[in-house]
Amino acid sequence: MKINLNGEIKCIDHKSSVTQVIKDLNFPNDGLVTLLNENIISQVERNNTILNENDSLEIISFVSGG
Amino acid sequence: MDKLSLGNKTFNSRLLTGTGKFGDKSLIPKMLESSRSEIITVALRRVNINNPEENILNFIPKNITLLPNTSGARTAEEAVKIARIARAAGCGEFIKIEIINDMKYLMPDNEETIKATKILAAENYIVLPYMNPDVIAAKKLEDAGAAAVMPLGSPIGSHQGLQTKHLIEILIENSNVPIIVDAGIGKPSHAADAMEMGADAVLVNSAIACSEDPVLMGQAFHKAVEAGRECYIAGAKEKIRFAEASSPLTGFIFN
Repeated sequence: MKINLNGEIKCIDHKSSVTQVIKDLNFPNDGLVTLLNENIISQVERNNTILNENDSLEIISFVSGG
Repeated sequence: MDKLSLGNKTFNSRLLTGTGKFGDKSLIPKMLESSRSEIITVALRRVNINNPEENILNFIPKNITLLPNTSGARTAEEAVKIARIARAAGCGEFIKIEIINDMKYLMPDNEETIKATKILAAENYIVLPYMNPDVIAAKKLEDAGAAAVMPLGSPIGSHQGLQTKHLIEILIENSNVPIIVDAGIGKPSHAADAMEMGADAVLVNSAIACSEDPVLMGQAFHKAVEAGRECYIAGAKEKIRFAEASSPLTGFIFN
């Protein structure tokens, strides 16, 4: 199924969790913020949050800045 | 040196630093040590899913207070969202509001900044708003709950020093919250100048990060900020137009 991941259309497995998507991308689970359809999904909620077709998932991280 | 109070927190250092533009991020911990800075800014961005960069938090010691900024926000609403994301990420209560919709001059939008400050202060953030040095806007930010006000010294990254010095002086004279001069500081002498006139702190980023030796430059800024603060506390004599002799003008040996 297709989701919008950080502004790009991506195909993921049906019934993937947010945690699974992060894992598939080889990102560390720590130090990230996730937003599903503009709602913040905490780290503990990621495992039980299942994505649906056309969901918008944002994975955000801290970067350098002044 | 006397301590800096921001919200319910106190700090030994009056030098805030930034993580932006370091060529070698591994220098950040050494710079923090040499500069004695206890607060450092970070930003939030979407992860580049094709080429993720290492999380900047990996370079910041745990005893340092994080000051996430809302860079990228063009409205109060966007700034509030970024602040909430930062807090959800465990970044603490501090937030530097930075709302810019002018991409040429990078001037902050005071009106939107006041709106965001009011919302975030009500949510118990320790709000540090970056602003154009306007005394009316500064009073409104204070009334909105800002823990400090951060006027720009000159345009971001310009290293022009205190081009807005006289406007910042007015803020210092009228403010009941700390004044932290942010943006435009290019040399330690600029930081000392700000501190000598009574600024409570300065935020320095690219002047340190883009120098040839960020660790040494961090130390130079530390010394400048301390010297400037001590000068302010000691009470410098006002400058005068004409000469005033230091030695007696009577009893000369030769007539």
